[in-house]
Amino acid sequence: MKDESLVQPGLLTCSLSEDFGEKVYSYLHQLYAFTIRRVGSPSLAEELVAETCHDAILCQRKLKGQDLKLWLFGIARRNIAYAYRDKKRRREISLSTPLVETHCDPSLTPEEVAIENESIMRLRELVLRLPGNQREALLLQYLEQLGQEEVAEVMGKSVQAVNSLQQRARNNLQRWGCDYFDNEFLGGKS
Amino acid sequence: MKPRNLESGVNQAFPAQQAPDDLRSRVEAYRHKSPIRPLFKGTIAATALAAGIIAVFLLVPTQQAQAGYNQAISNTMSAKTAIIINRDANGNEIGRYYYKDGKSMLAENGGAICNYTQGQTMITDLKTIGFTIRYDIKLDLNPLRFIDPQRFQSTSPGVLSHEVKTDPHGQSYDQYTRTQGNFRSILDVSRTTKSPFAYHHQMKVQNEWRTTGSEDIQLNEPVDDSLVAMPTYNHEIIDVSVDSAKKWTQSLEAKPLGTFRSAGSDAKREITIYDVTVTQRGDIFVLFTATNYRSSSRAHLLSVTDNLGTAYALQENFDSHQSWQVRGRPASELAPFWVGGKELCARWFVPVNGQPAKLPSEISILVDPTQLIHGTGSIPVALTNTTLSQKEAARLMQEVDRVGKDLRLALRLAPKSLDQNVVPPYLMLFNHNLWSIDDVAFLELNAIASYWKDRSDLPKAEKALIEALKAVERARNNMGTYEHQYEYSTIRQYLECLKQQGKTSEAERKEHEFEQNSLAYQSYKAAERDEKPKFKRP
Repeated sequence: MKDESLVQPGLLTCSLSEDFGEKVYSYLHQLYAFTIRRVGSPSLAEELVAETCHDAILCQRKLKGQDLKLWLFGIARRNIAYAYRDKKRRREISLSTPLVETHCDPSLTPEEVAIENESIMRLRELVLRLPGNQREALLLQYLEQLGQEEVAEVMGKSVQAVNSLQQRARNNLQRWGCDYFDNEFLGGKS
Repeated sequence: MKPRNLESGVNQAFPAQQAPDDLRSRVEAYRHKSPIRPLFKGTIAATALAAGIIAVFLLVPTQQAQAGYNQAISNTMSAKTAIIINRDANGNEIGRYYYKDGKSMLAENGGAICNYTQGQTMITDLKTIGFTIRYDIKLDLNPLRFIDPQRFQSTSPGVLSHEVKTDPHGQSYDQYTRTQGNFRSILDVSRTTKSPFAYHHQMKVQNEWRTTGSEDIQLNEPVDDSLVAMPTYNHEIIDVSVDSAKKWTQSLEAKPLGTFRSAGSDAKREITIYDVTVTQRGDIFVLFTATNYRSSSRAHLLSVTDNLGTAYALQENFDSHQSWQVRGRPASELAPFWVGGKELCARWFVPVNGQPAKLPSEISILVDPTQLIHGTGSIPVALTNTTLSQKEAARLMQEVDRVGKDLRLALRLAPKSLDQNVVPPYLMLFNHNLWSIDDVAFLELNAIASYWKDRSDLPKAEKALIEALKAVERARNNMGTYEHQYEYSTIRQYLECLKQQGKTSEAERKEHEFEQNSLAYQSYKAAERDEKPKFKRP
């Protein structure tokens, strides 16, 4: 949804800045959901969301007619990438493996629950194995439910490039996961 | 719910989590922090720079540098800071850690500064006389778990005692001592502020309690419920020299169970196991010595236990002629330790084309540690009396290879309280990443129950299910990966097992008890009746 009041960058007044801050904060929970799904750690997600809001408010002039939500997602993407790049430089050993919530049929035995959990974790590993842009293109489509044009706007790419990334991502998942998952499952939407 | 397709699977694999209610206030507060922050993109970069500044100061150990160091620390810290000062057995300061709003930590570790965000492990080697103590600190979101003596009492295993003591200034304080085997942890808590101010750890060596280290805890402000996080500690991992270990094991009356050799890239690796125990919590406790290791490029070998029994991890560090006492997660974590070349991995219930494929259950796979197992990927430890011949071991290896790659082997975790006749000879293999110790024990016991039900031996199945209910209770109390559906499913199986044995009145009595005492049972029964549960799921 386009935010019409922001189509004239440069006309910044104190009140506009405050309004802009409020508009940014209105997407706080969506930003948090976007971030936590990618970084896993609630504390890191909080920090990155705060960083994103800070950057957005500082750089509001750069919002030139774009959709505010997608613009914020783009900033968040960049900050997440910074965080991962920085993480690689530091000797950190992560203790907590984020556990995937499942909502299993209570009549399932624990073993059956364990199998389901395992398949979900396996899928997560495969997705995380994807090259960064492919993964992001796929996650923006599936998690944020964005159309290809919207994904293109967030990623700063053409629609054709996004289509190609998503297709390659699905192909990779099929190739890597075929010994574990059914082809029908990996085929995407049924 | 089983994912129907890739999109639903990805949504389950990357679940959203609810944002904290005060997210906005945290975000707004965050924007007004350290002056160096705005210069850099990303908090991590900012703190990395701060770490770099601090590291530079550390290289110049002058008074001025110390002042700069302190200033750099305070610049990056907010008001809510906890400082933990570690001391060796002689009381010398050997390290300190700073918690920034409980969200990240700067640690002085032998001169290096590491920045860890909450939920990550910090590894510190603190050299003391004759001992190396390795710490894992898991930052705990709930400060009450650590600072609340009642929580300390209820969530820590072992025997707990309490005294009111008086410090040199005549101030009274509470001292809580938790003793578990040959380890003791002592928490000193101010009676006025109710906050801990010191934490000591001792190890019993040759019938004497020896202090192995301590921490002074300084909080910048009085503790209240709004303090975000405080650490929980694992202090019970101690490296000793081989000679000391031998004396120690003699003092513990531990006898060698056997020696393993593993050929492979780290040839002539020899490991002697002295003791294996499984605590009531289901923790594996392995005492062993290792010789002839080359130093490894892998990360440090540690085990992590927090006092809630969750999130264990083991990593690897080898120095020759040293030994470890390891208390931690299943052997899937230990498995890399034993690898010379290829890792021994196996999966339980491997889905093959979407269908689970069980491994043969008749194979006895627990290796008699008195046997020497050659080749890659030996199974190191036996927890029962079951033995595996060389031929059976070879057959198992073939089965493991056939089943697939990227699998994990785990130890049996059947509690010693379970009648050993109830423990069948079969292999319990699973992906260790998913569960805590108590979940592992829980799944193990459910599998044992299934084994005996398949063979119509209901009394043995009943015994296993009773232990499974104990395990799920531990998981619930330890707030691990406990799930209501696990408890509910086990209760149902248990009641069904009683009814199948004709114990109808006992089943009815037990069901009434569960309806009164088990939130899980209440919730799912209510859901079955299409009613709202009376209580919210924690």
